[in-house]
Amino acid sequence: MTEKHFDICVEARGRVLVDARDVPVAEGGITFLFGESGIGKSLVGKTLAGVIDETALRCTVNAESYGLYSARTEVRDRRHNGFFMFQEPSSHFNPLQTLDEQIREGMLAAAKDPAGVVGELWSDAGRPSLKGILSVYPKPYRPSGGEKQRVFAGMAFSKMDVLAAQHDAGEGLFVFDEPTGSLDREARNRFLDRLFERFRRRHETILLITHDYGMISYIQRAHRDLLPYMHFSELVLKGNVTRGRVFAPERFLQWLHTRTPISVPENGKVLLRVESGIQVFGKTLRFRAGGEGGNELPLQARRGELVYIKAGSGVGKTTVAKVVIGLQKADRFRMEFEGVGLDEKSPHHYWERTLWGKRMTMAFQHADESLNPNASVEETLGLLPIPAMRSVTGIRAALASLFDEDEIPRLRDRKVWQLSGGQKQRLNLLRAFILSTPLIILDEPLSALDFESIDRVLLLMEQARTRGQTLVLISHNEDIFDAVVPETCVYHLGGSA
Amino acid sequence: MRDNRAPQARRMALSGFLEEKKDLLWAGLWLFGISCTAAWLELFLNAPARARVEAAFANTLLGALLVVFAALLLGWGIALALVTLERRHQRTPYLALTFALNILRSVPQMVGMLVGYALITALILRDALPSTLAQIMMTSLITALFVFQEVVDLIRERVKHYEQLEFVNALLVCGIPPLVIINREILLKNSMSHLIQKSVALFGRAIFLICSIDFIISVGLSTDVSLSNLPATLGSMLASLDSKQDILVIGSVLSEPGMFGSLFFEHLQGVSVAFLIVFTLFCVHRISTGLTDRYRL
Repeated sequence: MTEKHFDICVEARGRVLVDARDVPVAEGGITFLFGESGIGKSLVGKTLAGVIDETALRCTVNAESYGLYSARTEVRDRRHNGFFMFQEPSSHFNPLQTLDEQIREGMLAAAKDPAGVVGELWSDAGRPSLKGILSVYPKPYRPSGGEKQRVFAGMAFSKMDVLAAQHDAGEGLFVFDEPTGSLDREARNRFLDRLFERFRRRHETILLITHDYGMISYIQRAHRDLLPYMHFSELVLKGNVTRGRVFAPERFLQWLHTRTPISVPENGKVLLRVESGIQVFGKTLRFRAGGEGGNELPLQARRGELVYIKAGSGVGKTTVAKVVIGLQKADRFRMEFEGVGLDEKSPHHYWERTLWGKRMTMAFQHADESLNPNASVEETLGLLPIPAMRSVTGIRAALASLFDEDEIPRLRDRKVWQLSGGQKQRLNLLRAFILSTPLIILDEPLSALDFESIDRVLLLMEQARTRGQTLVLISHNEDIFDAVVPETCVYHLGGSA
Repeated sequence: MRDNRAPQARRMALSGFLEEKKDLLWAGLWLFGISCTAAWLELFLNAPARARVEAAFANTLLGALLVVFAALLLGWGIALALVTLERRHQRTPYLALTFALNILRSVPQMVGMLVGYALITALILRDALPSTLAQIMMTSLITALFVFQEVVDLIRERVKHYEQLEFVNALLVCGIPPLVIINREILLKNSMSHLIQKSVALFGRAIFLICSIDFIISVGLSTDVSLSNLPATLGSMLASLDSKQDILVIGSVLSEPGMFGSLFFEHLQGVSVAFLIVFTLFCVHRISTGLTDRYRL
């Protein structure tokens, strides 16, 4: 395994999109590329794979023009014998062909059983539903994000199988850009198992771009033998330059090891109680303790408690959160908040006038969509109905809890669209915490964040909890939250038609 | 050796700027064209006729600007009312307002404006509109009544678009009032380019309507009120006898090309009025499409 380093610069209309230095790629090995969202990891991956749109972007690789770079024999071979799994599978799938047709296209036609390969990524219980999924013409909302992600990964695996069967095939580059972003831990681990199984058969060059640091603990547990073939690195934005640096997996493991489950307030007053059996979108959503087979019970959160809702992708975690916060009308539900009973017949304006921003708030999953792109950071916080946000010092103090001191002066006047994905996510979370409402719902609070930001967000959550605020949490980062949230505060959400 | 790269780079930058900002290019061309026309009229048109053309041009532009202002004000207010009624599920007032708007929408603009002009005539006869400015304002208000629904449609469409995104929900659950979200976050921060483009298009539409209606009613509104009682506009100037004769000469040029030169010296009033209308409408159209291209609307 040899390690190569790349300097990559991508511009569009004279604006530098990414200026990345020292990006490592382990040839014949697996390179993990961590880092905050929006600092250019995907563009780096696309450039290395030779799939950049030259008409729209100006690009150099190690000071060589992209045209010359991508015309090189080894780059052409890498592209021909490789695969790029895009972060958003919808951008890859053709809406005019069924998924079943698409998994058999081109080189994949030589694969023995493409549907079977895709099926490897489903659990035994879920596999029967695959036939129905593959017969679908893909649309943005159908099948679900997690299902599309698994079909796409299956296509990459089929190509690996085809190449493994051709003994004279050249070396390829397989780029997986956030391949497990919409998957729960079980599905993610299944993906890693299948990927590493293939790597053991043939040592392809694999670049895995991800925010999911939890992969490290699973690899340590289940695939230690491959550690010599793995290179863990992260991209870090300093000023205008993004630098690649080694990320020691032990750092994360030690950090995870030192996490202790938070204390549960005893005899605290119940703030929120949501009855199980919420009927919405023709489904009934139920809370259970200790996994799918556990006892059905109502979700209950005391003051100063952190409650964690777990479920597979697409089950309806966000829908439940929206029902609780009054943004989604349910056909049937019942909850009690601060002693006031609310159900599907409760007037919408009760949430609007009495609860929102005063008694409860929510940080949404996608910071990109939750923030106004044309508002500056200062305007975003200044809009909040709290006196502290009317002054520059108040805003500075608030920003200091999730941003570096030297970052703040540059950040204040910057428009949201100019921020990196991680900065947006931190601002999105900060907005919810600043309001100091008794209840905060956090939907995927750690997505798009790098390791340092994750640490800061957890600290902020702990501070809020200590102040007596109740947090309801939805997250795929099970490795982290399992270490933090006591089992008694974990609710498994299941849906039935 | 002389380095030619800097001027070349400047030329490329300028051509890139003009290619990207066609709206500014056409705004500049319009100003240039109007300035050249003014200079030409100064040199070759007699003073009384020139004063009439200048007043007509100024009144037309002022009238069109007031139409835009009134349409934005009306459109904004009614759109907010509709959005609020819809949000609060107040079906009866929502349906009543929608019905009234649809009735107004079903009236052809020209017919509606003619009825409006009849109202203006009645007001003039009762001395209720004594000044030229008051008459222009009233004319603009009536014109605005038949174009403001474009603003309503635009604002509702923008609000609907943003309501589908999480950012409206995210702001609502932060306790931000819905009207602040709509006015500040959606319209001012995210729809300014749309509103500017719509205003420019309405400005062009207003000029067209004002000129057309003034031309149509050149036969007179009543025995006491005619175009001569109303503020002069480019439309009414075009309808005047002198201008009509000048315009007829353009047709004669086809059979007698030798008369072409005289168009710009002897028949200047009619030709310049026709040119000002056509040139302004053309430029406004290009500014509007330029804005659409620039902001990818």
